[in-house]
This record gives sequence, structure tokens and C-alpha cells, in this order.
Amino acid sequence: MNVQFKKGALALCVLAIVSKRDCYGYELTEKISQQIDISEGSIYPLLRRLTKEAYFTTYLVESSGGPSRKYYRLTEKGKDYLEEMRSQWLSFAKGVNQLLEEE
Amino acid sequence: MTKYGFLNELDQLLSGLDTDERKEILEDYEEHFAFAKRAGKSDEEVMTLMGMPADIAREILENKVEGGFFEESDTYKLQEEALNKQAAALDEKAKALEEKLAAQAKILEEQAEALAAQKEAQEHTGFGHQVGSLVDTLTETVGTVVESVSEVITETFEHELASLPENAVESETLIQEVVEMTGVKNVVIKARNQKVDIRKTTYPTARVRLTRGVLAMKVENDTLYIESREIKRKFRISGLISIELSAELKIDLPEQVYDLIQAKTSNAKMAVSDIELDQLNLESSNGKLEIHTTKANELALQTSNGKIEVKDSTGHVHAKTTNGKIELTRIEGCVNVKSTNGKLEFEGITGDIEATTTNGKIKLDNHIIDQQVKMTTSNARIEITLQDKPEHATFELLTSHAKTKLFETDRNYDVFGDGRHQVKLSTSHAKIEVGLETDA
Repeated sequence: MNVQFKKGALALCVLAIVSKRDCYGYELTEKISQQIDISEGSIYPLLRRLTKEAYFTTYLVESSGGPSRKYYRLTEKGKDYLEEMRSQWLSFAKGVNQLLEEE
Repeated sequence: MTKYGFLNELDQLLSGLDTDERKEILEDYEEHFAFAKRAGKSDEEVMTLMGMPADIAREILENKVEGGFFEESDTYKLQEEALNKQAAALDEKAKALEEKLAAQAKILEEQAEALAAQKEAQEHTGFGHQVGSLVDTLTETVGTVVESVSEVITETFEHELASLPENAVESETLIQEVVEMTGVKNVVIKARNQKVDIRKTTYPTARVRLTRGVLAMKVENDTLYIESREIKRKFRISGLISIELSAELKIDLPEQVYDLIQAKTSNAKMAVSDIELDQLNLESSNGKLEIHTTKANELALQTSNGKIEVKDSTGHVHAKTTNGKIELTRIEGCVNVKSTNGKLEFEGITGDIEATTTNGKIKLDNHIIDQQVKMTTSNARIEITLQDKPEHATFELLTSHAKTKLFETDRNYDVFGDGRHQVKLSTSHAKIEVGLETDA
């Protein structure tokens, strides 16, 4: 699959998951890799980029006995971006589906 | 590869980023490993799912440029600034070199003038005309020696490790591996801050030992690749200074004639002994190079701030150092040698000798002169001691503001036999002496 396309789709997935509730990195990779075949290592660069672009903020939660968790939270700017990407994706997918189903 | 190997490699690949950012990134991955472990996954499984460090690094670095509306321009600005700085530094270096060359040219001009005057005075003695051409040939000598040495050395060090072995083993104590060497013709070694010691063994297999650190090896086609580096304990110990103990990479190679052995390290000594091969390339920085009883066609040796020593060996020796002595003893072959601020000492050389240094004495003890010899230094003496007078040689001695001594005479030019072996010696502000052992 086209790399840029895959990257965009992955970003959309990450934004969508985090929009439902704050997540930490490992949780995200687990969730996504259950559905899509990805290199898990590539989630972190993506998270960094989205944070840098101010779509996410992060906060640390210490846990007793385990490693501390870096949670990602969607910002207002992130919500707008997610909506824009979601509608782009849906109209794109709709178009593709229609073309595939045409006789 | 271990988890630390993985993190370490990622860290290396990201060395262009600033420390804080790198630390943050590595912490993300460490966190990932920790959670995966709690979920019952092994480090190996995690790494398989994770992808290669090189791919991850590429993604991070790509993001750095394309992503981030605010950082983007800053990144470019910083890169541009750094490049500008480099360019300015290079300009300055070029200027300094130009000035240096101009100064040298001036000195040579002055010498030429002085010689022209001498020539006029000596016209009737019959060898005045020889002195005039002496200046030209010696000027040429300086140029060609410097060029030929650096050419050979840059050329031979161009082939690098094509791909890095991934089966790295990391240990705080001795790592020992045995390698099957059937069909292996080349050995390529890369170490970092570790001593390298290569010698012959009577066993049919090679033995590689690393006193501590990270060791990776592979055999591909007819080449054995060995890479080692120190353990870095930079994770989770911020605030502590880790002290690196010096480690040694010892490689015992079975007896055979190798095509190429190439070894690179930094800040550490390298030693090779009892090896037979076509081409030996050694490069260290800030470390000594020591070659004993080795038989090769070509030996290309390069270091800086370190001594180069070759003893009882065969082959064409190309040696280059800065701020270090070069000592060649009982060499069957030609030698091309360059140092700055280093003494050059030769004993028992059978082939042609080209030697250049500055501010360093040049000394040759030979049985006889049966070869071409060109030696150039400045501000330091040149001394040649022979057991017998040469049969066929032409001596040209050039110095300024100092005396020359040629077999108990104060001449600076003499011909023996048919004069076919040229001996050209040049320095400034220092004596040149050529004599017999029995005279001393």
C-alpha cells in the first residue's frame, strides 16, 4: 500500500481512538495491531508528530510497581483535525466502494 | 539483537537530535518494552513487531522536517546556520593553508636565490650546475610524497562495512566466539574505543574474544565482518557519570594468505602480528599502530596522535600520522611515510624510501644505499648511518643556515659509481649528516 496513504490512515485511527478516551502508547499499539498489520515502532513517531502539531497534549501517570504511563489527550485543535480527516476519509471510502460495486 | 542493542542502535541513529529529545523518544520505547513484558511478551517478539531501528529513526527524522508547523522553519534555520558555520570554518582553513604555502614558497625562493649565489661562486668547481636543479627536484619531492601518501590512504579506506551484523551479543564479561573460516579471504573489523589485537593461531578456526562490550559478527561471501563497541549505560541513570572500562578485541586468525584485513578503531591501540596477506589497512585515531612479523603486499596505516611501528615485516608500507613517531625496522619493501611533528626512524629498509615530516628528526640506519631515498623535514636534523659506502648513488643534501656532512666532507653533492640511486635530503635550520658507522 502507498506509504503516505497508510500513514494518513494510521493517523486517523490514532486520533479516533484517543478521541474516545485518553490512551497511553502501548495501549494504542495493542488496539491498532489487533485490527491492522503495522510496524508497532512507527506509532511513536506518529504520536510525537501529532503532539508537536498540538493535536495532542500528554501527561504522565505513575503507577506503583509498573512503568509510568504517558497518556495522550486530544485537544480542541485535534478534534477539528479529526473531523476534517474523518469526513475526507468517509467521502473517499464511499467513492471507492461505489466504484467497486458498480456493474 | 537484545533490547539494549535495539535501543542503543536507535540512539546512535538519532545522534543528530538534541539530547533531551532523544531521551524522550527512547523512554517511549522503553515504556513499550516494559508493558509488553508485563503482558508476557519476550523482548524478541516485541522487536519483531516493532520493526527495524533504522526504519523508526527514518520516520522520526522525516517527521522532524515535514511535520510541526512551528518547528519546521526553525529546523531548517538551524541546519542552515550549522552549514554556514562549517563553510566559514572551511574557508578559514583554506586561507590558513594558502598562507602557509605562500610562506613555504617564499622560503624555497630564498633558498633558490642563496643557491644561485653559491652556484656562481662555485662555477669553476664543476658541480655548480647540479645545485641549481637540486632546488627544483626537492620542491617536487615535498609535493609528490605528501600527495602519494594521502592518496593511497584515502583510497584504501573507502570500502566500509556494507551492512551491519545484527546478531550482537552484549556482556559485562568476556565474550568468546569461534568462527568457521573455510573460504574466508577477507576480514573487516570495526571497533569503537577498544584495543584491537590480531594474531595468528595454529587452530583451523578463528577465535574472537572481547573482554567486555557488544560484539556482532557475520560471514558473508568470503568476508568475515566483526563489529564491537562499548556498552553504553545511558538509560535511566541520568545524573550519574558512567565510567567506561577499556576493553580489548582479540582476534586469532588461522594461518593462511588473506586477501584483505581491514580494521578501524578509535582512541585505542591496534596490533597485528604474524599474519600473511595481500592488503592490510589499519586506521585508528589517537592510538598506536603496531605491526610485527607480518607479510603483505601493501600495508596502509593511518592514525593521529599516535605512533606507528612496523618491525620485521614485508610489503610496501604507507604510513601516515600526525603528532606521532613512525618507526620502521627491518622492512623488506618500499616505504612511504608522512608525519607532522613526529620523528621518523628507519632501520634496515630494502626498498625505496620516501619520508616527509615537519619539526621531526629523520634517521636511517642501513647496511648500504641500494635504493632511491627522498627525505624532507624542517627545523630538524637528517642523519643517515651506513655500514658500507654505496656503490652507485648520487647524494644531494639541501639545508639552509646549517652544515652538511657527507662521508667526512662538508660537501652537499657527490656521486658514487654510476650514481643510479638518488638520495635527496632536505631540511632547514638543521644539519644533514651522512656517514659510516665506523666513523661515529
